[in-house]
Amino acid sequence: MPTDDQLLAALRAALEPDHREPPEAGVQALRRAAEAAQVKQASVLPMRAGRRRVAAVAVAVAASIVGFGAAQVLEQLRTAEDDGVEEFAVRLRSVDGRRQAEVEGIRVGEGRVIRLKSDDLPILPKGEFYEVWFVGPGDTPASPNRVSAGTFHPDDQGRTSIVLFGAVDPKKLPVLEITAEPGDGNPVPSGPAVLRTQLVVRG
Amino acid sequence: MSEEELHDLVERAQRRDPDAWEALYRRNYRGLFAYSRRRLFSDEAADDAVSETMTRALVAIDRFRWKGAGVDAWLMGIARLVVLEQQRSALRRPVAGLPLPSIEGPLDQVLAAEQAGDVREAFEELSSEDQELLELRVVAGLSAEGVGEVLGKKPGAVRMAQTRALSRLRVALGGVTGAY
Repeated sequence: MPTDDQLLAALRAALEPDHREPPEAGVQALRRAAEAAQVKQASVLPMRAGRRRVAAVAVAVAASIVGFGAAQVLEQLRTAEDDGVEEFAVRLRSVDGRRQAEVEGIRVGEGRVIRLKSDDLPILPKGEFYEVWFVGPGDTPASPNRVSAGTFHPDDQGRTSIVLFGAVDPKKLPVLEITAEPGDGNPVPSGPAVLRTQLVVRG
Repeated sequence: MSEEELHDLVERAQRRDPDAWEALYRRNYRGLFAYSRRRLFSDEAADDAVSETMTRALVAIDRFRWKGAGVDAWLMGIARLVVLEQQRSALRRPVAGLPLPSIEGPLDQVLAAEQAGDVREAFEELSSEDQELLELRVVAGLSAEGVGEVLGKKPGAVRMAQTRALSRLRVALGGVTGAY
């Protein structure tokens, strides 16, 4: 009869993948993202005035999300940050009016930066998260017409201040919705919208 | 790395010091990759998950607070969500296990490979909760405190759950090999 320690050792030997070194491209991409964030760290500005910071964070996020060797994308975004065009700025409210969030959408080059702030979204249980959706006409559970813009969690104090990066055209999917999702592996929206609003898109 | 050195590393990371982020990446890569690889379909997907985890950590590091389990468990908590989201967005199912190693070679290698295969087979019979707890402990190398922080449980409850999971693994191994 094996002891617990023997079982754990057998499990480790059976389950652990082959040893790998961290990919050097990943290390360098993270360093570049840290450098970009470091440069901009001091400029924490109010929502409307903070576009440079939004772009900086988006650059950092994009650098690693898009992948390693994304220097060209980084450079394009850096040069485009001053040309960012605000497409919408809305306040989402819950049906009962008790919850709300401010969301700003800025077109940067071919992409969009979505900045979301809220102080009163409830903290979800471990494993659950909020998801931001752009919803189009005719969206139903049976025939969805929506694109996820990303997921997030409020911090320990229930505050949310996040930046998402995507390429959704809000003119085609003009409703913004936030749902609470269980970590069940199912990509379909799982519950009623926590917050929802119709977007009025400029330009 | 001592506790003091680790606190210093996190402070530098909060100032977005690239050297600190490289150190955090290298320090946590093995555990983050191993956990992600167990649950995603390829090495590349696991590497992407690690990269995404570190990117989110870079954005969120100001919100990190020392609560006992430390920064490694905090990063693993982010990785757990990233993996869940990747599975969710692509309808990917958790991989049952890594490819079995070749069983050709000297006798001790053959025996080790056979034992590893038996252990993997028994492990797959456990519930997803048992599997995740053991993966976090064994594959990701977290302490009971770290696993507790990731799963939202107290360390004592993690230890109890681990004991029960190992008991169930022992029973499952008996079913697989008839030897336990």
